[in-house]
Amino acid sequence: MGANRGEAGSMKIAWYSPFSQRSAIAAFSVEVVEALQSFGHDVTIVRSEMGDSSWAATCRPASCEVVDAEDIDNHLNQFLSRFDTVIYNVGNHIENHYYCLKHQARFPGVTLLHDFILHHLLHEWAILVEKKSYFDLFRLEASSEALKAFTRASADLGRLWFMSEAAKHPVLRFALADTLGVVTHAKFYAAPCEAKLHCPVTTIPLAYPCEFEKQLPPPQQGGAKSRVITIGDVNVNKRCESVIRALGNSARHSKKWQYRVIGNIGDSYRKYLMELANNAPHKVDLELLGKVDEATLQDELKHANAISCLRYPVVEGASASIILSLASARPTLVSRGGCYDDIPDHLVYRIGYEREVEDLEAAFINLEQDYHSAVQQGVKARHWASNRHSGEQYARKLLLFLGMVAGPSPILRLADSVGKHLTCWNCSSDLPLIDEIEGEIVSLFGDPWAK
Amino acid sequence: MHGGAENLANYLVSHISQLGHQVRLLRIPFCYEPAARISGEMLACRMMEIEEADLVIGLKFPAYLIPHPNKVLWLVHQYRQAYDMWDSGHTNIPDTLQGHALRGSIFEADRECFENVNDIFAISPVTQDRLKRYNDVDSKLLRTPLNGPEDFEPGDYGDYIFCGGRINAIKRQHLLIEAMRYTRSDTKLVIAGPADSPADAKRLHRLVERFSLQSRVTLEIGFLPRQRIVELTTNSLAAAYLPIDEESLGYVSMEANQAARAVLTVDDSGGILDLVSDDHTGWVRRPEPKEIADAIDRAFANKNRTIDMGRHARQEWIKKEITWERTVERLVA
Repeated sequence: MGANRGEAGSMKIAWYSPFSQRSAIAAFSVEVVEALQSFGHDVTIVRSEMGDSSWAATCRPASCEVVDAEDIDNHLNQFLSRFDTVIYNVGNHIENHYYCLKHQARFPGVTLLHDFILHHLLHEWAILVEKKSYFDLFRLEASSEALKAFTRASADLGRLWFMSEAAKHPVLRFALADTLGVVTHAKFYAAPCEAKLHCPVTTIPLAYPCEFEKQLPPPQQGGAKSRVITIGDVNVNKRCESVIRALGNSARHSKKWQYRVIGNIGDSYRKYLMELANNAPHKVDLELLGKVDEATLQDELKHANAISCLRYPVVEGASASIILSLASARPTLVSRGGCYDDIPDHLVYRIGYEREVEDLEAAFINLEQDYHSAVQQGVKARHWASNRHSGEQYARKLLLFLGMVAGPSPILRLADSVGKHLTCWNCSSDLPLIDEIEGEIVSLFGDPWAK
Repeated sequence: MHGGAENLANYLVSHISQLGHQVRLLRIPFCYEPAARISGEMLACRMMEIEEADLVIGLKFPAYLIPHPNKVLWLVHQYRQAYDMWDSGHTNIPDTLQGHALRGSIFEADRECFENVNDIFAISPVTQDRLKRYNDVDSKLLRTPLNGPEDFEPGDYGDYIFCGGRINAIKRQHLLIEAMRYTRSDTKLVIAGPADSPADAKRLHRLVERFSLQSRVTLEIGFLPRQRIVELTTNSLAAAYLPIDEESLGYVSMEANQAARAVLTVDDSGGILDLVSDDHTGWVRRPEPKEIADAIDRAFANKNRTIDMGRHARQEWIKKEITWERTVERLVA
């Protein structure tokens, strides 16, 4: 990677990302790439999807050149050597990020890590790429305690492992061992990344386009009924059950609120939630809209009186839906933990997991009693989120980080190369040579591992 | 240290250049004492990058670990102290956990290297066998040619047996001196070459004195000009070379054959046994002074026969077509 030019000169940047219409990371990429271009940098987007033959048809419009990673696979070094820096967007799905992993191992760059929990990615990587069992690859990274947890959860991997226990046992090295530096989108996973990857790590809040949401007028008190909505694929992690229970426990809430859930939902879970709403002590007015188009989603946001952004566990690196919610100025209910802890308490209604239903009931009471203050709070949240999650802010901070990484990165690559060769030769970690090399590096270049 | 392998590298470069290629000799310093340093030496080579070359030819450990997408090995030396010399107890690698780990690392580094080269040539069947036995790697035989063969045109036959090359215990010049005490009075021996250590030189001088052989054994110990080596070879009656299990044919014996001199050797000398056929192109004896003395006596007792054997040796040598032209052709193919 060439020397960082910060904002003083133009850099050539290769930006690996999924870039289909349906990808949220693609939407993020557009925001940041345009900001980087506005600062005078020359960006090329490299599409990272795996085997997407219809990629050209689904490609987003871009303000820069877009190339397919598959097309440069055979002459990768030649292609990427033209750039001053390479950025890899890594998330939790192999289909979207295959070439990020594959090319990062061959041509290290800076990783924008969208998810802390990469177990799905590891699972898919194991089966589709390595042709090995997930268990074997997981064992390479995890502790014996983690293996026991995995075994205990094996009866229901989806619910017990991926949605729950996996968060306690992060897997990062299989995907990011060669990275020069990592950007997290929330503070909570910066420290584990540093500990596991031994590279520079910084946190930059996710940039996300929310032009429509920012233009929405503040919500008005609902008439006979107010709407609380949840957005996104519907599963136990979204905590819809707790919202239904909180509304169903009170005649007042059930009468006042309609709960609208917008997102893809499986048949059995749909049935379960409907039964829960219908059989609650006080029947809950529940609408499960399923997957909707953009116009419908915008309409739902426009008419929402509150938005529930609950998660447990909080495993996302960042949440586009919370950014949209805050930008819409709608009173927002959020969980504690993970990326949600980065939001100041005075901008949201905080819901703890241990007393989730009770906290929700209290939040609904507050909303019912003083909706005016709730809206004022939402407007403040909009200002905060609009500044914090802009592409321009992201690009500025990213450029600073690239400058920080560019300095020590050749030294870190040297150290990494030493480690790889010695590992390949089965050298043990207590080989005196390792301390000698570290000493020489520090003596010659200063401590590249120092913050 | 400047030995046969270094000369080989120089001549290789020169002959590749003569074919019109651009070629550079990259010398990598290698210090194998103490053994704990070896990992670092290996790593230094493994991490080098040669980007501007179309082809890299690796000769010795650890230099051959330098990576390149188009690399061939002309294997002169592995680190034998991790292989056969470990088994025979002649190793500087300690028999400790760390020593075993180091040996494992050398195996792994070699394995990785051998898997990633385009071709492997070995300078001798001994080298080939070792590579097969310890690393399960097949190789092609490509012997080292003689350097400057035109210098060794046969001259007049003299009255001494010549033993050239580096002087040390492994080359066993002392065995020849010990043999000389049992030979007839008209035999003469000339030993010439650089001693690896003062002790090696002293040892030979002491033996000569001890057996009162000053009039029949001449020692010219030190770095001699090539011309002097040529003179000593081409004016001798025959040559002698008795190394312990040496991998190559040996420059001493190849020069002697080129100069139409029969060669005396012993049956544990290794690669040279592919060159010396007993009673046809020289003498092969057990490494015992009296047996060697018998061969020396025969050489002097029937000089015409000795000269005939020398001529046979030259014919056989030339038939082998071990030339630089053929060698370079195969390496850069």
